Amino acid sequence: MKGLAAVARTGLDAVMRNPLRSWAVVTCIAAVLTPFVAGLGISRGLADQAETAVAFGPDIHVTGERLGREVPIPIAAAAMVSDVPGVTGVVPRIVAAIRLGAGSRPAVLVGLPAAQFPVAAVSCVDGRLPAAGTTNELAVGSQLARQLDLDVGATIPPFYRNDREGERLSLVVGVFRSDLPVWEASLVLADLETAARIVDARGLVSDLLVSCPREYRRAVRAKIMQLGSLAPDDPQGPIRPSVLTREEALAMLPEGVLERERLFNLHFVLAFAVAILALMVTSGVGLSERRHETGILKALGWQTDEILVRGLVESAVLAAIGASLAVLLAFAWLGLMNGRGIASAFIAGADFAPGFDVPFRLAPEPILIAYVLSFVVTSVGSLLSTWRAATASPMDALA
Amino acid sequence: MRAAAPVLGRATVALVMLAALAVVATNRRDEASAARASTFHALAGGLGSGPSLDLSECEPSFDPRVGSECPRQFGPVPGGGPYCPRSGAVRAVPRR
Repeated sequence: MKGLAAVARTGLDAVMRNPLRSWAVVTCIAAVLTPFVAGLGISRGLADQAETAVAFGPDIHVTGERLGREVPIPIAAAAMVSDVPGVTGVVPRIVAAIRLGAGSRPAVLVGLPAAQFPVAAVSCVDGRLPAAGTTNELAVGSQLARQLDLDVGATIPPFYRNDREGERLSLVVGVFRSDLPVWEASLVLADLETAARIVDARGLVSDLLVSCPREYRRAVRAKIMQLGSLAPDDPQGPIRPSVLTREEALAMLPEGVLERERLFNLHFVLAFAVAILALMVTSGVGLSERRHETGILKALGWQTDEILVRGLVESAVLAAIGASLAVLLAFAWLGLMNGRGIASAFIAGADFAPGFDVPFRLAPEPILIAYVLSFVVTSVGSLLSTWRAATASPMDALA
Repeated sequence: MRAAAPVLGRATVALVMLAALAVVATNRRDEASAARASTFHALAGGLGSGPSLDLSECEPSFDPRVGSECPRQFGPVPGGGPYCPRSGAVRAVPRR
């Protein structure tokens, strides 16, 4: 055992003996792994935020369906749903895609009854929350505010068309804080009436947010489905309710958020394949020094397995340094530089320099995989050449 | 070289420990951040859950509860369908 430890220690010497090669290997590993670790970090951070979004969302989410597609539902359906036994509250909501500013920046308009905004929610914005009234009061997302140079008190020229009431200026009364979940970035929050005015769809909402005790969820879901139509008087036919409980929404999450992670992993499989070839060149194949060195060790009486242990230790040290550097660089990239450059690859709609706090979490499993991959890449590069030299006779190796 | 090897060993261990600390730091639960997130979702009615910041090209990639139809999804095509650039998936979110 003592002999093995001594042999292993010579692996450290081998790292120091070829500083240029060692630096090249460490740099290659860090260069390949840093975006991999950073990307997976964002993916996990986003997945965590998505879980929170569902966990703190409505108990039951109701939308309308016609011709197999989502359609707006009449606001009167809120009363129908609130009459269902077990329902403790129904909040109608408008969620609409709009465009703002000279660059037609995409934004998400959300309209909710201002009277039902939680009091504590004022901490989410700089300024205040929008109120109901004839003025279009809006709270805008942090990235949108930065893109359009909006601040509290700014006015936005009419950006919509309303043939019945005409168009009006809108007033920014609040800007969302950048440390909230990412979906605030392009959000435009308004009172329900204001949102209805902007999208010119009076009496219609996108969805109903239903509250009910946990034990009644399944029964309430079934009862809402039995309503048959959310617009019974509509001459164009029924609008069928589409109901989603919180548990069902949670079950859908992994499919959506982590799909990008899988594609990202696929790209990195290709990157690692290239890295193995690159490291074979830099760390072993083609370097006559390694062959010469192995020949000397063999001539001094070293066994093949001892030479391989020495090579393994050298690879393990280089892999550990490279992977650790990658983790620290990814941490700095995401934490200090807010994922500049890489966030937009995972979060569609994010700027090169995101205007919001990029969520990230360096989960232990991908980090462990990064270390293992790093070791595999390094050892494949160096062990092959070491083994070929070690199995040759010392004369051949020294030739 | 002999003197430098132990230093290298210690430096490697230190680097690995630093990396482990970074991992632990990002996995620690931030109560303040969780409270802010819950307040935001209480305000907006539980908004978002997909990898997109807006609804402009693919609704389910913003929030599958808001819309489940991806306009880039043209049905089952042998060998795969067209990729949606927003969700990054052929079928990011199953139909509810």
